[in-house]
Amino acid sequence: MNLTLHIAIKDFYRLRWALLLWVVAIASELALASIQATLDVEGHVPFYMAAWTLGNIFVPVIGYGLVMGLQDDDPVTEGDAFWMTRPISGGRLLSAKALVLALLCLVPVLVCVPFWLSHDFGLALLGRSSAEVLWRQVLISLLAVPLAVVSSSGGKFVTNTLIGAVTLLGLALLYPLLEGSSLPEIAAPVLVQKGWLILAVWLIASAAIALNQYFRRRTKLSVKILVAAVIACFAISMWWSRSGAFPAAPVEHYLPAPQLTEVAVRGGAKVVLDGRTLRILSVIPDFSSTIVIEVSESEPDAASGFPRSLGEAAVATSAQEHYLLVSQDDGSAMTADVARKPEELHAGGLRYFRTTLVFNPSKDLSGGVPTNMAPWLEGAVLVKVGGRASGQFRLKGLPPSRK
Amino acid sequence: MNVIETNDLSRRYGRTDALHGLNLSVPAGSIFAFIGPNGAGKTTTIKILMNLLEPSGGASRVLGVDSRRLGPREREKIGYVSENQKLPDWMTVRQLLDYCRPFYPTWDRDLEAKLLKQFELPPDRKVRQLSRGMMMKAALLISLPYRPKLLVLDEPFSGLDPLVRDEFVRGMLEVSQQSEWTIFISSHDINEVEQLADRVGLIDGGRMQFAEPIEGLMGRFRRVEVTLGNAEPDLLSPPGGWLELERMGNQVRFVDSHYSPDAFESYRSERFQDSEAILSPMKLRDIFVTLAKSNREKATSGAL
Repeated sequence: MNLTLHIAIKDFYRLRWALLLWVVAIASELALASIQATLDVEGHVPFYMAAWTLGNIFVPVIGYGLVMGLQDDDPVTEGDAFWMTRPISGGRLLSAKALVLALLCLVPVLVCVPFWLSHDFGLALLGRSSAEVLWRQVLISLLAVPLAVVSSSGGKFVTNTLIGAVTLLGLALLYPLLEGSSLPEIAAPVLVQKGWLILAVWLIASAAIALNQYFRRRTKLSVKILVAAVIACFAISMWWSRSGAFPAAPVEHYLPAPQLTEVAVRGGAKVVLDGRTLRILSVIPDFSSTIVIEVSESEPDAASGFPRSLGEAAVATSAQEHYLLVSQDDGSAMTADVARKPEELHAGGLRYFRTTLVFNPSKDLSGGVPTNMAPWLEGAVLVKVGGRASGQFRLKGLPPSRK
Repeated sequence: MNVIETNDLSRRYGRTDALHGLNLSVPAGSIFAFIGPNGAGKTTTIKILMNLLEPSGGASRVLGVDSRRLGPREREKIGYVSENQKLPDWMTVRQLLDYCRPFYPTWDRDLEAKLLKQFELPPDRKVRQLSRGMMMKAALLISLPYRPKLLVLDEPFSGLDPLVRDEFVRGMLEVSQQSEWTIFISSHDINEVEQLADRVGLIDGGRMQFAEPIEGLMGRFRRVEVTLGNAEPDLLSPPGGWLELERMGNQVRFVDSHYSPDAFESYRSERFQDSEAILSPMKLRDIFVTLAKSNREKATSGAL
């Protein structure tokens, strides 16, 4: 274990500047997102763009490149690597690299935690947010690992990445050819199944490739496994059509209140439904003229006293009911009518509904429309009016206080 | 006991045979010079011995272990320095030493300090900033302080100036005085290793030509110059050990590769009557040149 740590420390030392750059990029993204969220004037746009660029390009690219940086010093493709001439077994090297990789995946979480804590994230939300950020980096690493272990240098890794990207693009172009001009609508559970299956295939292939390279260095075999995995993933994405009980896990996204239920808000922001509370996870300005909140709600949960189901209620009295979004900031309010039937979905034996609420500030706000709606949303209350039941959703947005 | 043993070792690269049934034994405690021209199969052999390359056939044992099973335990006893070795060049010399040290339980820090001073390596300079000679010395520096039982050097002197070469050799001798070890050193130039080695092996075209103590080799090779008398000698069927046989007037010259005084005298009295013979010992380099020429002639005539 000591020698494994010794190798891991060497790798961290070698990657220290790239790591620092990564941490700075993540912290900058958070800082810029915070700044833009507090701005009422049009000046927030550059901050938003910078935050978006950092978060969606720089941070993932650096995270991806770090995997190769980790591998680059001890290549497992050639017979004359330094480690092979020293008392270092393939197993030990693999353990060290896996340890570093695991810690690398935690870096974005560790950088974000102080930010989240400063914005009053509770334990549950902290866990969920950590898992989300961790998951993203794990996926990026999973994508990079098989390419990194079959590349003898950084240059070859970049080449292999480009080849991979071109291959994926080519496969994406195959869809219309195989399916015709109109792609069939795929039910959400099937999509989730496909996602999990593809992930499982890729995970198994990555593990097989890594083990083969670290213990046997048969690069040609690894490349064959990689190609087979890509074909298998494509086949799953193309032809897998089963649904049903498998998998049960995705249903967790739509657990009954008061457990957390994640909903998406247009423009990249995220809101979590926590019992009676709709919580804004991140405030990304919406440049459109409307605010769109998508609420997902599971089957009734009588014990909580929560509206039996937003969607169900909406179905029953869609003509009469509507939602009010009342700002605690200035008391102004917007109305969202439920104009169309909520989408009914099924997963794991549970029925749930997805309702899209559209608010139009230019129509409702007499005092003029703020460029950035985030401060307006802070502390705002979502009220459901009409129908068989009504309830309240409190919006606790970011930033926490702008009073 | 043999530290290195190969048995019909072969290796193919596509359609090219790099090694053909190589048989080699390196006794413990010897300094074995593995000589051969460029492309003869030296590096391939060494890479197989170090488990950096898999053989296509045959077997090899290093320190009593199948070379394909060489693991950390064996590598703790093996030093390996190659002209093409890739060192972690982002490290400084000191960091390189700090990194390597924990892998070897027998690492001697006093010896490390002594060698560092002797090699005059700047500890805080990055490996990538070292000259070629310094880089080779750095590679040797991290291969000696644990007093390996076997030191494998693949063309270590290639491209080094004489001064650096001397320092390199002195570094090896430093350890040699303090511990028993075996050195396996490959080179395409016999002059580089002649003074070091006590055994020598010649590989050419992937085949082992011979491997024996230098003393024995020098003893059995003689350059012979015969001044003929009146009798006409029979040169059509010379003994198998005569190489580079040529006649110019009444002079016959050849190299006797199986020389023994009695056998030669008997042959001379039988075939070169009334002749005078001058026998000269050969330098190791000349022996190799003679053998290399002879092998190529054989190969050419075989191909024809």
